[in-house]
Amino acid sequence: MSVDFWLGVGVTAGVYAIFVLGLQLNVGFTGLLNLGQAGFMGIGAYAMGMLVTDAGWSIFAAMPAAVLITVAAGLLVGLSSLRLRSDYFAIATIAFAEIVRYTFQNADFAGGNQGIIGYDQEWRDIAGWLLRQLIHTGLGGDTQLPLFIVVWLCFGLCLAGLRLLQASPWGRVLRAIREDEEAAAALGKNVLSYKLQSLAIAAALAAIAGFFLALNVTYLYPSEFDPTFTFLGYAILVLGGFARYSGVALGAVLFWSVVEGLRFLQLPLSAGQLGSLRFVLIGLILIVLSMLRPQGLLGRKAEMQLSR
Amino acid sequence: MSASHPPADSILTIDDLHKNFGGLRAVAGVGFSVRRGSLTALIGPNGAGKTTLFDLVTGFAKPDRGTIRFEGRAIAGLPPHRVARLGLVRTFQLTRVFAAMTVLENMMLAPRGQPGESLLHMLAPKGSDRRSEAAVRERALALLQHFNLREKSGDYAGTLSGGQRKLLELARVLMTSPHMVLLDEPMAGVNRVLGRRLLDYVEELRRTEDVTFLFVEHDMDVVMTRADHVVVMAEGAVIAADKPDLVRINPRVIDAYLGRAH
Repeated sequence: MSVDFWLGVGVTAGVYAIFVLGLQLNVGFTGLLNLGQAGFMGIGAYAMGMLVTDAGWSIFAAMPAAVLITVAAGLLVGLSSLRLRSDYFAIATIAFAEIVRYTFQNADFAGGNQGIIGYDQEWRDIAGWLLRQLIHTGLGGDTQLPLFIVVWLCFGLCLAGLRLLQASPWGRVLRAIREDEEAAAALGKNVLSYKLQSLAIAAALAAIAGFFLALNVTYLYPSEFDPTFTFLGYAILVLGGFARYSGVALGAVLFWSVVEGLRFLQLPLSAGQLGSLRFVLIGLILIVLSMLRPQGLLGRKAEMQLSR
Repeated sequence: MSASHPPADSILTIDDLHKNFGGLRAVAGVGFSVRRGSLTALIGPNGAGKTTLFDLVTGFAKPDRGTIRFEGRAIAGLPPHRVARLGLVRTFQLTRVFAAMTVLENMMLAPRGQPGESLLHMLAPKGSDRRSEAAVRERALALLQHFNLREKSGDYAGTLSGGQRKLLELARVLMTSPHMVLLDEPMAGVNRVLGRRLLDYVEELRRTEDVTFLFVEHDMDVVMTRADHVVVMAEGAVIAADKPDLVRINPRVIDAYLGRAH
């Protein structure tokens, strides 16, 4: 169990944490069951990768452009399906995410099953420089450290921004929509507009998570963006707790520590069996948690259980 | 009941309004007007189309035909939030509070046009936003005090009793500074004492704030003693619109209420 291994786990947890912040905004604070978050992440990551490798952009110009492209995709999905009842909206979003993935898999422009590679040279230069500084100051020389630092720094910024928004009158309207959208409309709130804004911000967060995923795995491949990513995100959301942004970080770290830590179990099982067992155990933990603490580790019980 | 020549001081004028649900004619050619500053009751047997009419006026259902004018503006077919922003606000038959928000948050949500509700505005916040938020809070607390809910302000609205929820809903509507309020059975499920208090608030607001009220109510004592105008609906149409004492002796109204059995 090297430091680098656990830093790698930390990077994965950080990517998921940023990803799940968007789910928390949608599910926990707006009442939108967004199951297409992996699709938004794919669009963000692929847009960034293609702008760098095909169009020759700097990665630092490609990232904000990719965020805008993903936000546009979020608005498009929202405009076409947010008028649906909430359960149908959930189905529409998962369909959207699968359309995105199959498009990447089959379209020439996205590299098909070959994927996209070679967009991260600028990042490697920076990571190398950062690593030299870290070694110089005696903070360690583990190769995953630069990405770990940047991912969690970014998570902290996103968390601070979301909390600021949530504490504002804007965040208050979102929660009212979560509680009762007709009553919110009767008080003059434009429900569709707020739902679109919520979805657009979640899409932007998914895109940012996608950038770090891309930098972590060093090449983009369609199956990285399959719906499992969204479902694991929901497991983290449930674990960390409903309607509490800080729960997302705790949930992500705990989830990935358990999943990766169980690798070191000494059992007479094959690697494949052990891999499955890890998720069986995660499932059990979630079931026990939902019995003992249905609101999640840091969730707000009242906001989950109070009825109209 | 033609409203083609509404009185000059009418705030809401409805003319020839129609709404079908499949084969059911829920509202069939309704027309009447509500005088500004009045306390007008809308009565009628169950299924007369009163709640559908409320839905049509407040944008929760789109009329098939007909016009609705509020303060001179045609509002038929506008979405609910646009109607509410004009100052025409409703309550619901089943009280709707935002359960997992505090009582104070329920109140502070309501005012129209708060600067902090816009995301674009949030990117460039101004010092005045904080003052606006503070003013909203102060007004909310004052109203809660008035409605005897001040000590509940930090509680989740979902923990309130049925009567307290009714009070909160009325207080919340007032936070929007409405010109006209539509109350759908404000006294349903509330004990008589609290119901009276609710109506006292309504009358007081009419006097002091010049708010117009249109309310659906089944308790005839309340309607006859409190309303200054009564509109009677039956089977999707208006069958009478007059002063309470004249409505009381109108044979069509007696027919509709007591059935053709008598």
